[in-house]
Amino acid sequence: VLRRYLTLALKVLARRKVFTAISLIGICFTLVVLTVAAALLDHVFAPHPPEVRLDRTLAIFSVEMSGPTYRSMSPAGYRLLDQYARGLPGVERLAICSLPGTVNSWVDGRKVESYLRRTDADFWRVLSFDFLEGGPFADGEVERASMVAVINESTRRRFFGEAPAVGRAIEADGQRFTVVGVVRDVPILRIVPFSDIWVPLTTAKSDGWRRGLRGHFWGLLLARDRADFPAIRAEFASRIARVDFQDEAVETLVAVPDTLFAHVSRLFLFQRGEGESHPERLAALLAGLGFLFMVLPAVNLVNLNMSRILERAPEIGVRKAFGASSWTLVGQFLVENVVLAVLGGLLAFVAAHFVLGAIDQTGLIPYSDLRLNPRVFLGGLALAVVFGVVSGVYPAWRMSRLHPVEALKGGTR
Amino acid sequence: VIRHALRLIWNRKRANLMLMVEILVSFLVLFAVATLGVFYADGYRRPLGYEWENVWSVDVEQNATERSSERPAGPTDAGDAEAAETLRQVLLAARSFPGVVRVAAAFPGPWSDAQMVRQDERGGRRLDYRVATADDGLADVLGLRLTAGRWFSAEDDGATWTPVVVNERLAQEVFGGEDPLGQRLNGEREPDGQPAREELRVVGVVDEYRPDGEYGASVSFAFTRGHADNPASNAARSLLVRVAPGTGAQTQEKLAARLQAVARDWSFRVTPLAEVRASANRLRLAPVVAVGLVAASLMLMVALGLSGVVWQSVTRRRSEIGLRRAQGATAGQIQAQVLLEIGLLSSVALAVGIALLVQVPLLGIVDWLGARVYLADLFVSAAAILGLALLSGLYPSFIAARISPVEALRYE
Repeated sequence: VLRRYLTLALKVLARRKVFTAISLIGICFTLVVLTVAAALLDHVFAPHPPEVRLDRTLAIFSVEMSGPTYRSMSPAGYRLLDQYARGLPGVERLAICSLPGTVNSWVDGRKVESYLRRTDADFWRVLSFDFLEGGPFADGEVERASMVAVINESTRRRFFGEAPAVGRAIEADGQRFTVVGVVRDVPILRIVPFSDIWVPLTTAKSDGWRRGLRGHFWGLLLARDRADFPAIRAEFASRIARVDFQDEAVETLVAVPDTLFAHVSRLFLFQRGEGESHPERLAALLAGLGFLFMVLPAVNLVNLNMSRILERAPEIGVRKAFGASSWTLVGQFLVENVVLAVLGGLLAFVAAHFVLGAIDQTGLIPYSDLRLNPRVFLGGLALAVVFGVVSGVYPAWRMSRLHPVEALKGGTR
Repeated sequence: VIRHALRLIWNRKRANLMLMVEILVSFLVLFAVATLGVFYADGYRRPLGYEWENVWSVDVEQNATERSSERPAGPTDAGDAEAAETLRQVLLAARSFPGVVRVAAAFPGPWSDAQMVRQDERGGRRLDYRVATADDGLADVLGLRLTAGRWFSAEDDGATWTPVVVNERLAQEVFGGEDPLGQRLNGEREPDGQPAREELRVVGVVDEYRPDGEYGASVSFAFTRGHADNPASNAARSLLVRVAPGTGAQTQEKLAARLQAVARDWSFRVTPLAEVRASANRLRLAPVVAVGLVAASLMLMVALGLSGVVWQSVTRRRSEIGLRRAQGATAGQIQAQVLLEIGLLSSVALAVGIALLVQVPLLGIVDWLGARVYLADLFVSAAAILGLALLSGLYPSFIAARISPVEALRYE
């Protein structure tokens, strides 16, 4: 039966080319937008190398300190992480890295701007970078403050053209580093690993970074298991409750190890400084926005479908007169609509591929590597089916209620 | 004629209801996007209150101690003597650098990632406003326009209170129509009930200051006086340097190198405000452009869908139209009838939409847009949707007008 429905559906769709085209354009456009949005979310939040263990990584991104007249929010300081976040139960490793800052270099009289990030050696163990040449710097090199650097592919090209870079020197921000490794580019939206140049923490020009509770550092905690997250948070909270401020102006300090998604949700929903983060609210917001966006295309499609049905009133009348039940007709129409939606979905997939390529091309998001993967593909397909069913139900119901006699006459109501 | 058209619409109320829902929803979408557009256009039009051309920002990271960085510093804080000497050398080097016209300090500077918000209580009312610590030279370097009073100067040196310069928005908010000069800005007590730790007294008013740039909102803002040569003052963290027009990127690097040579274990970052502004604006505009593109495509889709539906209804009503033609209606009258129907349908939907939006003072949107702009925005969006609906009815109406009575009647 389903097969007959399918062939019938395709035939019906081919008969009314203009209508089918208009519906397809609508469906296709809607799904392109949703697919691109999904690909962007996937690009930012899904576990891609180097963040392959994202599911059991927590990070301390920011601290909020408040006193009687002011409130300050900033990234964590090294002292806070070093003194209070080490050796938390259930944590396999702690990596500390600075936020990336821009630095200038001069190559053959040309100004090159790069992001530079200072990290410890555990950074390379918590994250799994893809090394094209050489390798990361080790604990010893961090301790000795060796002037070594890991750079990304694009930086290698900017400094040395296509030639290998390991063993050669680069100058950045007035410091000279020897390149020990070259990694594949990491997109800027992967905020945790992203940079152009990574150098040891200890190569900072001044020693002030060691002393602050606030500063410009992030701490990455690799847990043994997701299930340990609450225990880790609780232990960290009880430790920072004992911080000695040595300063009467600060009364409270709040810092919570968050997942990446929870951190982004804090930033977007202004939940900074609240102890609990509510990532589910951001998820709900995103889903809500997606839903709102789908309302107009769905109503549009419903209207087109209603027209199509009214046009086919005589056919429906005949089928009813010959004893087809309402449910059969509803089923037939839904199949027709879902076929249309899935066709639109496939078209959208091809179109989304080009849109994503175009976004990559513009360079709006440095090193972005937007692509469609099976996850996004399946999601898009499911969405297409849902879209087809939702926009088909009401017209199908209306159709099934057509009175056979009236329908045969070309029912207008 | 209109009554007749209304009756026709009423006859097919179910199908038309869905069409009206579609028109209503597209109106709401267009209105939302138009409001966003108006907000940005309006922001771009209004003055920033400062001049960013030929100004470079120099971020200074001292080899600082914990204490000085953990506390909002006042002018009385005694800095570490060694740091003070280094800072003096740095300022000297910057001022005497060829191409540099004037050096001032302000933290956070324009477009800075950092934000400082002060929370005061005044007359039982909570008062939140953005602040920056600025030194005596800032008004010159940024070209701030004072509308009353004066900028900070050596006159303030002996004062027992902290001098502040506010923007007109903050002055209006706190003092209403009163003259703010010489008045106390913060209340006697902190929000938590403690006695106030310092007294802020207004010495001047600038017309406008929008630290987040053209696409940021207007905020209530106050500058407090700080000193670029006091290492404990926030002002010393961020210098603003006015350079001679045409000073290039090479000089940036040389300036950074020169400062580095003076203070070996500090770090400096020299960036023209023009660059900071460009990247901040790009970041703010990208989502708006994306939303605009999506909305434009949505409208196109609605237009296509509507014209498909109208077309369909025209073909289905061939016999009715043929009959009218046979009774002597002209092609023009038929076309007008089709357009009238879709026009009426949209008008009803739009009336509902406008009635909805007028009721809801959307999240204070009316406040910052102003009632006139809000209404204009409302009617322009409505007119645009009406135009869109008529446009999508145009082609089907041609088809309807071309129906020949003979053929149509025989078709039945």
